[in-house]
Amino acid sequence: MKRIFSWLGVFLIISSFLIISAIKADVNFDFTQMWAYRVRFYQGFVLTVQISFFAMILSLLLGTLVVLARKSRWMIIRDLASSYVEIIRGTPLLVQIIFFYYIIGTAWGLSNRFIAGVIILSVFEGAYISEIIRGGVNSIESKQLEIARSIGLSRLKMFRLILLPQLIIRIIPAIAGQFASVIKDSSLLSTIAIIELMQVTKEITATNYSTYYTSYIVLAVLYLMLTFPVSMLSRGLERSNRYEI
Amino acid sequence: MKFEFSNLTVRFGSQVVLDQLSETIECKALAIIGPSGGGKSTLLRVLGGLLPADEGKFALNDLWVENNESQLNEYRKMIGFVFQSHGLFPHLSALKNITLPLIHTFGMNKQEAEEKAMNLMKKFGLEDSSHKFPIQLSGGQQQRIAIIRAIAIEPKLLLLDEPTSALDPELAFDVLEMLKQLVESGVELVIVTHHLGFASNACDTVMYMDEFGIGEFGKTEEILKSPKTERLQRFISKILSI
Repeated sequence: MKRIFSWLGVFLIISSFLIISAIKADVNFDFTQMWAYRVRFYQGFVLTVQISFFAMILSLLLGTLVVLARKSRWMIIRDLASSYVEIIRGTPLLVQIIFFYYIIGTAWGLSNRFIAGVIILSVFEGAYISEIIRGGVNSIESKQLEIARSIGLSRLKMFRLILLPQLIIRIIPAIAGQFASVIKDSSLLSTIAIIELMQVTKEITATNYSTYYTSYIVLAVLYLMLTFPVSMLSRGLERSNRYEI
Repeated sequence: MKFEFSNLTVRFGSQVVLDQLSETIECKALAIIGPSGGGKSTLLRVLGGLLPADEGKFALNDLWVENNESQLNEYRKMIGFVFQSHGLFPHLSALKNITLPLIHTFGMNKQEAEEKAMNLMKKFGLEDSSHKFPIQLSGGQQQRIAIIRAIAIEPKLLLLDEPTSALDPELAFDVLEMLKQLVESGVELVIVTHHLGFASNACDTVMYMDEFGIGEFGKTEEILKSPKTERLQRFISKILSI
């Protein structure tokens, strides 16, 4: 009960701050106009969900591969993996989108914007995810692997029974945060005219300027509808798997 | 048990920790004593198959252990190893820590493994801790669970690396009492310890090691009551003066 009142209080504080700001800035919100764009918002929403979903899976796979590559016995593979992480993390996503789509995509005949968008986003997020996984692996004391060896576990069982369960619990919060970023970062794919949520909003506001602010508020709420469950799910998983008090 | 070392050498970088150790040991319970940095834990890890020797070899009950991973893994299955501290898996309950090797190394079915683990926990008064995670257990309870996990597999030999060094005296007493019971019931062990009282009460053989290698080695009574070398005399008087 206390919790509900607390959330209600938070909601009131934030909404009153926004409403007062809107009044002071003399911005008029007319949400009734939004109904006319419901189908386009829906289509954009679905596309954002699809892109984010595939990008999450692909970036997780890529991130895992990069972690393995950084442990490779061949120096060139290790250097390739760490260069990838440094280059991706050191450059803006917007630049990467333009570079990958217009230069690499064109060079290799990748014209499907959806597939290109998913790949670009995965390559970007994969670098961050690899660092999260690497940090998680490094946080598990090497002594635990020695204990696992002492009880005669095979390497595969060591990975499956000792390393993986602890790794998952340790990296879930950070991975969930990154998944929320995947959803939000997908908005930049509007640059290459993928008609996801952001692009839909841009198009609506371009044709009907009076909906400018309300469209972006609807956009923010729709993104929150996607990112909030991700963060709730991560908290739930974190709690149900907690073994450290 | 019978241990034979032949020119056993271990180096960490340029530092030689074990230098051409050659010895044959036959006993029921061996205590390895000596100052820190003398190679006691290193020797125990070699004997546990956890650290391959750089040179030389060793045998347990006439079985010579080579430095290849598949043979070492088979060898490790015969050994119960207890670490100094934090020897349990933090993500598993006490019960699951004990059943893990039974199920996943020895292929026992889950029910049988749990029954065996519970029986051992009852025997040592730890049945209430079965579903607790290591973080919820005291250091002494953690060590006793680790010992139960090591003996549950019915090893040919139990190796313990200073199992009480991280515990306060009362908890250390519980662990040592448990080990004494095990020795009395016929479990053969090698323990690295600073508890001379335990060594003299529970172990039939003592080995003193320092940075110069094995200083003295023989029957407990002889070694502890009438140490021959000045190094061991100094070590014993230091320990007793604490």
